[in-house]
Amino acid sequence: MNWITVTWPMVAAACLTLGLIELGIGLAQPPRAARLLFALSAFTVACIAGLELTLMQTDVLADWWRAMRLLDIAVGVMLLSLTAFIWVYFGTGRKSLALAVPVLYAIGLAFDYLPEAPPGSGMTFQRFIGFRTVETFGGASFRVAEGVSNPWNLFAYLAVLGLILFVADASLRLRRRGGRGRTALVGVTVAVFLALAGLQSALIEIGIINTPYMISWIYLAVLMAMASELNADVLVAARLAGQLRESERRMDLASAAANLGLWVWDIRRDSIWATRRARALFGLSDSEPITFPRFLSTLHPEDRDTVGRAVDQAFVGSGSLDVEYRLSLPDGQTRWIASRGQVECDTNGKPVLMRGVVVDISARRAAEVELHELRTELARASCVSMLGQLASALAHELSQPLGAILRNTEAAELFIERDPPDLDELRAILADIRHDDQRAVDVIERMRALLKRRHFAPQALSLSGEVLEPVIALAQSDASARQVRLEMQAAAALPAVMGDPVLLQQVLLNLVLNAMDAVADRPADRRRVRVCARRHGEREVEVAVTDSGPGIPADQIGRLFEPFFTTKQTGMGIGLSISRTLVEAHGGRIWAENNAGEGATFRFTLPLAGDAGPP
Amino acid sequence: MSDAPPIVHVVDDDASFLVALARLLRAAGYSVRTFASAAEFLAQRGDAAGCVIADLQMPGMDGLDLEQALLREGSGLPVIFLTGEGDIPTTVRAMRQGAEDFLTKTAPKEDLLAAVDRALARDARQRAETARFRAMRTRLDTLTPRELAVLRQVAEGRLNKQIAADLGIGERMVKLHRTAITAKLQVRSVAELTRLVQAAGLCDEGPPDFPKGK
Repeated sequence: MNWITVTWPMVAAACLTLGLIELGIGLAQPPRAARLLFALSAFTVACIAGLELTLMQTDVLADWWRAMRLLDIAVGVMLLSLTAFIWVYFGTGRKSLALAVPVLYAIGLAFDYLPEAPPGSGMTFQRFIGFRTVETFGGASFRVAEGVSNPWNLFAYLAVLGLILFVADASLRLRRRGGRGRTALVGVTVAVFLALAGLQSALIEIGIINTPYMISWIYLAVLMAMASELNADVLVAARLAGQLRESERRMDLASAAANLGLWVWDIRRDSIWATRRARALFGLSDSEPITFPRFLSTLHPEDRDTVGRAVDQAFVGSGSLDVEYRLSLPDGQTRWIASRGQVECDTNGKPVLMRGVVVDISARRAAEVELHELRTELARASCVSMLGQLASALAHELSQPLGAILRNTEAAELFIERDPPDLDELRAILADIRHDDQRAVDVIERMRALLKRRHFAPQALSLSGEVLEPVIALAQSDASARQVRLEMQAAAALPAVMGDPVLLQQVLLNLVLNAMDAVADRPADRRRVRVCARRHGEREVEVAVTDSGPGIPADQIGRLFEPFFTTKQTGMGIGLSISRTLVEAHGGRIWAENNAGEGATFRFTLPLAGDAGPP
Repeated sequence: MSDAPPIVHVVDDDASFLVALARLLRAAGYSVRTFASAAEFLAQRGDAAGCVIADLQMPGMDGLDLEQALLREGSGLPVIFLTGEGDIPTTVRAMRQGAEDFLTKTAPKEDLLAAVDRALARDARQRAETARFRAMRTRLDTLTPRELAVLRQVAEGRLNKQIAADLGIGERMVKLHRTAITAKLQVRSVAELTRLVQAAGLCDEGPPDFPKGK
């Protein structure tokens, strides 16, 4: 037992271990061929280590000769597997050099199997002379065979040189091509160790140095260099896998925090993958396969067409999906979902994959609906309060036709008593009654239209016919009672605008009532309110309400439209803020300015019906 | 004074109501003139007897303005106001200015006609009073200054002796003057004479709304 008999088996064991590891990995994951070739060379080096140990210990010629010939074969296999490995793994080797290695080595190896060769002769020795024992450090000793060198052994060294050149060339070319720098470096390392191994065995065989063959040691180094390269990928992969898991955990956390569900739709196979959260949103179990039709079946029936169209649009157009829809849950409830996705196409531009997110927006939707209702409610409340301001004028407005009807009826009763009854007079009376009845109906209709609770329903409308005239008619009696001259001035052939007539009437009525308040303290002959409508630029119509009042203090002009800001003693400060909300909902603007002379003007704009403005 | 029938003047800016109301009043037997505004009425009314029915709320000059204008002109023409909806401050102001009545436009016919009758009656009474007063005034104008002085003292209830001493004339002269006065004024008793003097404003206060004549 000395260090030689201990360390060579250790080298063999190390090589075996490396080989087994790489075999195991190579069976499971790429690069398979490279890993299997590596395993083969590692096993071969293990054999080489065993054979070297035998050569160092035997003094029986037959044993030595057999071991020597096996060693030559093993070295050949190893050179071959190394060449193949570099060929496969680097992908840059020259074919001629690669082929030179086995060819050259085969020439040398042929001498091991010459017929009628005397024992001990072969590739290494032409003629075997004998064994001698060499003492080395650590008190260990080993045997060395001595013989006459075979000049044809040169071919084996040429084979090794060929391999060195092949590796070096392949490495340099890989480097030049901008490939993996590390791989090229490993190639150079392999070449250097190969050169060392060749040199060492050459020096032993020529008899210059007295050391054991250390081919296996050197090749172990080569193997380790190769393994480090091969497994660098594995290490990177392992690190990536770790990062991926971390990233997935973060993604899970983020998607859970944002209540997001993720999905990927393989369009060609019509198979949808979805996270548990996404499945839970749609009321699908974790195991149920999802197809597009199955997905559609979870939707509210009214929204299926919308979603189908949005998906088609994403395929042919922008490539992105952005759609909101309702789900009909099994328990009869409705859930609002926002779905956003991106299409991925193959090289022909055909959609193959869509991935995206879903999020539950029921709460937001409910809040929007509630906000809308509140706003409508507030708008209606302000409208009621406006009509309250008009109440006495409106009562007067109504009592005119009602009073006339009553007087006409009473007169008719008297006429009918006469003998003969005055039929012409009675006919005239009936016609007047009918006329006055219609007047009363009109007044009620105008009020009712303003008070009716309804949703925002924009339509193309004529500003002067459907907004200005009804408001002037409604406010006229109030204006008379307050001795205000209320005028309307609409440009001829005003283009149609997009809007909800009732809401716009409300805005205008509010501005007109404010204007009448503004002129209340002026002498009666200077109380004027003018409503004008005219085209404003290419895309808008502007409505202006001009009064002859005292104007607006400069420091208040910017705050007029803020909620609960008021300049009136009894005002609530909601009229103008609601007007602004309503005008902006129409895609218009509203502002106030002081006139050059006296008074102020409130203006608002509305987009023309032709322009597809905001809803 | 003419014997023409009293005229109901109707003033309303609402043509429909104006026609209907005029129709009813005519059917009920009244003579009616219609006016579309207060200004039109003031310009065209003449001095016919009767009353005014005016809408309280009218553009330009409203009902209250009309009533004030009438007062400024010294016309005692009673005004009945009609309104869509009576609010208290306006009503109070109208009544304080001496509005005859205040009705909603949809008030029952009976109320309306009763109000018209009351207004016409008041106008007739006022006019009769004025006529009588004017006649009296004409008679007083025939007295000499001395007779007027005697009349004042008689009306104050002084005795002939006191009057004679006061005026520095004989008691017989006083008696002669009194005879002339009763002849000219066509009165029979001192009581009647006294009342007449008071009504004619020969005392300190005259009637408040005495028309200055046309």
